[in-house]
Amino acid sequence: MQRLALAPRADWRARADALGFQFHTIDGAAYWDETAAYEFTSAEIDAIDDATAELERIALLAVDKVVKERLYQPFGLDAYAAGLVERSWTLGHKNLYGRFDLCVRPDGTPPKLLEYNADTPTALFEASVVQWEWLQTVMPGTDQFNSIHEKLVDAWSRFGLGGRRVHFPCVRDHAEDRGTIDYLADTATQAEIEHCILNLEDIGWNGRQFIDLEDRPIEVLFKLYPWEWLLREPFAKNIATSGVTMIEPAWKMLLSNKAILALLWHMFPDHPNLLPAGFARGDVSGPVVMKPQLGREGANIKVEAGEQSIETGGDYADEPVIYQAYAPLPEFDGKFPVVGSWVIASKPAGIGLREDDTRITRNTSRFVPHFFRP
Amino acid sequence: MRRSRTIKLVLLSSTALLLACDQEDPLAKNGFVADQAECAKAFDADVCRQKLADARAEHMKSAPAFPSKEACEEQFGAANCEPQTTVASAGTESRPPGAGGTGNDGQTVHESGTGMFVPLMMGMMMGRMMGGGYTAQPVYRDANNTAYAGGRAGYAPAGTFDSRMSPPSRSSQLATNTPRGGFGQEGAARSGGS
Repeated sequence: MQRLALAPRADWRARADALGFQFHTIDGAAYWDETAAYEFTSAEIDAIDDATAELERIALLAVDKVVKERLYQPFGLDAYAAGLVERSWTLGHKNLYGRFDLCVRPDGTPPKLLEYNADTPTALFEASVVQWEWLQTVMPGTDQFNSIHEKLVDAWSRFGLGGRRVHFPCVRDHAEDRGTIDYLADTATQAEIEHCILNLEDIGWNGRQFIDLEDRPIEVLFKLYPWEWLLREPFAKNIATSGVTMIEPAWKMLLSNKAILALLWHMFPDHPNLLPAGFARGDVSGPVVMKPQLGREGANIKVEAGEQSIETGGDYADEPVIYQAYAPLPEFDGKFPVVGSWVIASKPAGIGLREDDTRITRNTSRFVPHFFRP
Repeated sequence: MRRSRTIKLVLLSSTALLLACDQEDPLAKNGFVADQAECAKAFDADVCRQKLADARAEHMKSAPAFPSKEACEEQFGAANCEPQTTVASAGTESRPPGAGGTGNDGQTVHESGTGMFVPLMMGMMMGRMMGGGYTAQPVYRDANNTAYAGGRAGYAPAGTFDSRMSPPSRSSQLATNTPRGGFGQEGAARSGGS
């Protein structure tokens, strides 16, 4: 694993625009950053691939344990939410995607799980399409750990929707979410899944089912919207009786909650891909990171690690927290990359790297492409 | 190589017809059109002919090209590949070197082989353009019968994005006895990504 400084393509902005990538520049600063790229060895890619498959395997075992032993309390779920989780898991509702954030170091130590963005992962389009286009023009002849697009198309065709239409609601006028929705709807198109897009706020309730603006029943609903937000809203009480198939399924709310990090460590102590984690400071010895159970985008993170101590603000100060042993991200030229490793239909599908000038990855971190030599 | 892409399309995505839930899908297939006859059921026949010609021209310019027929068929299936040709049409395209003379009537088309092989075009995917009209991209099917849209347009050209930014909201015109707006309040103010 090494970081190469590269001259960006003179027309990279025009190329990103042509791909339909709306967010290559945020507040005047490049978010898509091709002034560098990370090069991996084939063995390093194998290690990430294997770690991702292993983490998904144990994550699904953890969901099964929670449901079987009704361990919902640490996740803050009430009886209604727990019922949704249990029903979706027992009926085997399929999931589409998720992104493990991994600490990958160049010294050959195993990749470590920092967190699992299992419900509403971002940076999908740049990982799937934009960095692939970059590889073709900048590094032809090399390879990239990236079959995200094919696996999405394949996942839709295997979802078992039986001809049912998928409704893709989007928060009104939310340009970034709309870009992700358009991309996912496009992958559904390529799998010949019937679908349509509507505003989340336009969903109606006819007393028995959710309906769209044409009063058609919503049978399958892809939500780019956190489960815990849905459950706080007026229509939440209708989900259980509506018969709607939700993507992601309700059981994903266990995996997107950082309480899962404590449960995984409890179930698999000393697992090479896990960091010690618990609900109390005393559960973890040495330098530690405090994370809100339901925080997002690097908000309200506190690192207690001597000279490397750092803290971020945000909207999640009132959330319960978990404690996780501090695994410092590797430093390359003063940058700190985190590896986002994608699973599509629970299979490893590729990676996207974001780097920050600090050891906390945030929504202002930059996306940097990667490649490896086969 | 278990981890690289198997389909080496430069740009995999498309400007598919991404329909709002209150729009009719003229084809009920999100813009996929296999041939002229199918297209003409939903669109004007002359528009269909023109768009199929556009997709065909785009196909020859930008289809994934392989050095041999065997290499192509390995990914796209037996008998699913054809020789690539360059197409030069006077007045609309710059002429590739060695493509032969170009007429001066604006319609003469010259084709010549490139020595490469490309998958057969299995139809086209139509998309709406801002301000009216349609785009057309070639569609391929791999050996597993998975469909891909090719073409240089790429995914959602910036010019079409704004028109699709927000589906028209008709909540205010709908019967008031259907409750709506029961989802979305939390997300109005902040990002739900992670």
